[in-house]
Amino acid sequence: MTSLEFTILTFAISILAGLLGSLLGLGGGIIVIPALTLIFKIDIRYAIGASIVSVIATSSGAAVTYVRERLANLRVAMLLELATTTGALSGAFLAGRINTRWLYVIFGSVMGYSALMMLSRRSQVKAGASQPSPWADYLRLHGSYHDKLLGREVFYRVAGARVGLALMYVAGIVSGLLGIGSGALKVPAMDLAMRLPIKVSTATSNFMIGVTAAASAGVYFMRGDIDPVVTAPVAAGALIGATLGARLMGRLQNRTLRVFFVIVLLWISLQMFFKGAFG
Amino acid sequence: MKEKPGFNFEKAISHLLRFGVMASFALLLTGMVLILFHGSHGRALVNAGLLLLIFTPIARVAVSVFVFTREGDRIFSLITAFVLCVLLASFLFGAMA
Repeated sequence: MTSLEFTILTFAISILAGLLGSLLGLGGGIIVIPALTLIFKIDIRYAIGASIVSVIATSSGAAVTYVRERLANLRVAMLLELATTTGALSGAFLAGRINTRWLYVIFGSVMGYSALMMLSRRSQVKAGASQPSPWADYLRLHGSYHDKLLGREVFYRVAGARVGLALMYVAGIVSGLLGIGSGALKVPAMDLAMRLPIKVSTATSNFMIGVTAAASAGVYFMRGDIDPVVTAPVAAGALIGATLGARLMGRLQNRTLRVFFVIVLLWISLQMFFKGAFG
Repeated sequence: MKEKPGFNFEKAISHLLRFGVMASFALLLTGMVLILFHGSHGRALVNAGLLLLIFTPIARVAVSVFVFTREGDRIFSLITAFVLCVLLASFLFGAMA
């Protein structure tokens, strides 16, 4: 395989990763890492480095649109980033000191359970909390966005700010320890605990993952684990894919997005579970 | 949120991100082409593009600290300042490890 072939193929696969990641609030690592290691036989360290950069690309590329369209709730995101960043730092400290196999099994199971819970929400017409949310009121987290498909402004209230913070801390630790993107944990937390509309959950998750990945990326870069030849097409492709995905989001039905996310989450949870159970 | 008339926080963040994204894409694309066709400075351009991309979310947090402080939103200026500190601490931690 020539350099040109590698570059073009990687670029194309990364567009897909950016597209998927931007729609679902994930980073795209689930596509990039296997593609680089299995198809192109890239060393895992460089694959992870490239994947982390692709997460930033996906996040920033899509956020251009999501932030402007108020699909991403900035106040919720920045509040939760308190927890995800400290969690990621904690996870980095714990790396190497904890037997991670049990964590894979536990979180694989938790994700699977969350996926099923999210599926059961698909018939709910109205998102948003009906119970009082003192923290959300005080911090002015509630918001609205214009749903193009429904043709109207969707108002929603935010619930469970404290539970959300706790879950985000855990998501941060898990991503720091296991190296998985935490989007797969963030979206269910926002959907189930904080009662956000599904598009707001995925867009806000997408907005948040860039910051978490940036911290890791700095470390990888300084260690020399980010190879320009491998990472450039990955980053460029993810930027394109994410830009496209964010524009596509407006055409998706909420229910479609939810089911799509649940399927991917189940797939990820099975992978994690088997990895923990059978190595 | 309390806003000066005419200032839209969401729009400002969106523009910041768009600048970072487009500038880094341009650097990455040019660098890739140079690497492929054995031009010089290809790797340097790619590295510059990658650094810019990595820096963009951090710049977003820094700008947020500034905006919240200026708007007198004490809680969120503290929250975002704390996040910025944790980010910087992660870099230092990684540099030492």
